[in-house]
Amino acid sequence: MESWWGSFSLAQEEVVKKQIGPLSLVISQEMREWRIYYERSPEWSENEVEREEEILARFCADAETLQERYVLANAPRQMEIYPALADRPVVAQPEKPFYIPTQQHVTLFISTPLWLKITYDEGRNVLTEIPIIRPSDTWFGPNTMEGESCYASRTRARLNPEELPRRFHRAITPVQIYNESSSHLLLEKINLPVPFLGLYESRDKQLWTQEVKLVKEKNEVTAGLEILPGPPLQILQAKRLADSRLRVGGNTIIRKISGFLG
Amino acid sequence: MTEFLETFYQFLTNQRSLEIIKALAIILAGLLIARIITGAVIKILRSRFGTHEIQLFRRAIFYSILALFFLSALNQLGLNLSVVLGAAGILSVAIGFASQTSASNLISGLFLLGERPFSVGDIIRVGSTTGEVLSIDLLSLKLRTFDNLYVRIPNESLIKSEVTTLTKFPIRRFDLMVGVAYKEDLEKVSRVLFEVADNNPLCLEEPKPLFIFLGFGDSSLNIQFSVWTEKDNFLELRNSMFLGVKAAFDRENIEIPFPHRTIYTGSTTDPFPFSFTGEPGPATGQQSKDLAPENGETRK
Repeated sequence: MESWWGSFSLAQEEVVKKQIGPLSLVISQEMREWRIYYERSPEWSENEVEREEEILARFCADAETLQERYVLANAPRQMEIYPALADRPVVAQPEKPFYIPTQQHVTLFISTPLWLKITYDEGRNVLTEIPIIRPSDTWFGPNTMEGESCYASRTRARLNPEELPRRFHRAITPVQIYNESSSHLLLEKINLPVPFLGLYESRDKQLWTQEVKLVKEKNEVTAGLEILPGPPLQILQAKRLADSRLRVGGNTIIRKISGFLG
Repeated sequence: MTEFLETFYQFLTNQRSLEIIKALAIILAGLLIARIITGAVIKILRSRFGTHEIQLFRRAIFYSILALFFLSALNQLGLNLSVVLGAAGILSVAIGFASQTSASNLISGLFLLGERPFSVGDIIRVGSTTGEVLSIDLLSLKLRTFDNLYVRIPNESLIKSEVTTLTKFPIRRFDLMVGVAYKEDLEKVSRVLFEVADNNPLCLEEPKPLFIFLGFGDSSLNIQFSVWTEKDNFLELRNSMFLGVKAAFDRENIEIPFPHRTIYTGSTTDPFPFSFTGEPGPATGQQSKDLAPENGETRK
């Protein structure tokens, strides 16, 4: 399968058509104007991947689907479409909550939704960002007064990466969880700060993020989230696709345990 | 002309005039210095405090510097400050009686500033007025309503009445009240409502939506369906939930009933005898004829 990201030529009267998961996207250039048409199909399913051409043919670039217009003084001939991780943390849940006993560790695999970033001038200038799927909002915090606004991941966190559906419009994050405290750690849901993670492409065109390591400290109150440098060990011949949106000093985020696990 | 210049020179060299000019100069310098110092301090504080605190600091710094210069100007004029303060005491009693309302507003304003139930930029509801707080002053609060009206609310009434701050917490709950017909299966209704919430990206997954059966109404089963959203998305969620629920109910053939009235004459008499003869036609006259009681009785 060919990847949907990369550099595309967009000369006068040319159009770029893409079917990325449920998102049908058409970008056209008319005069000095770039027009971005897109729509998401609510009935989209995995099986429709094969019928990509058919879907795009049905998707007509008309006024209804025209979402954004950009007028450029000197319309560049090249544009780039790249994936980007969500701009807010993503909350994922395992199929059933489970305990991690004291001094044990586990690796979870979480699939998170992606945005597509349209740039010009070889990626130097960002035109727009479009979520491939608009994820549902959610609240992560101990109560309704304090917490953080996040996105909810529709897919469950898995212990076996093979169980995660392979989707080209989502990225997989391996999360190592270590329990160094003296009590069991109940894992009901996990807050994954994806804006701090970089994005990689594997040989088979799957998207992976940097691996993270979450440690419940001995003091029982805090947890530290370390962002491991480089691509995750699970993938071969990784190619870096995008840097993280936000940077963290020292690669570790320390929070109260309730800031990461619910 | 010479006479005028002479008088002017005498005025300038007169000790008293000099004092007045000096006092004026002190006040003018005070205004300038207060403005410069306030500006500089605010610049430093801006990154650490919100609009509300900045507004408070600005006023406090400006007026205290100005007061110092004013007192110094009075001193320059040769006024004994203790006499002035004594006179001010008597005057304040007189003014206090004359301006009870203003004084009450002023004190309420101080309490309000100390208590901080809301700050500049918050959306609040006072009585029937809802709007964005523009400024919290010593005498009154200024609001901008959503239809772009400027509302001044005296501080005294804020202290006395109930004030709701709509934007205090980051998320809000929207309670959707809906009634369904008695024939409907409540489990199905609950499932459809949860599906609507699930498909609406603005509706938070956590805290979970809440389905509450309120009771048996006059003509419907009353339900409250509560969903959470971020405070900025409240209006958008409200609209999309109403539209979503209506569309889902229509699709699933769930009836939202309007008030029903069943006319019944009591246990000793039979119900009104009605019968339909043939298909009801479009013409009103025909319909009323068809619906007429069979035995020729007139409707009561």
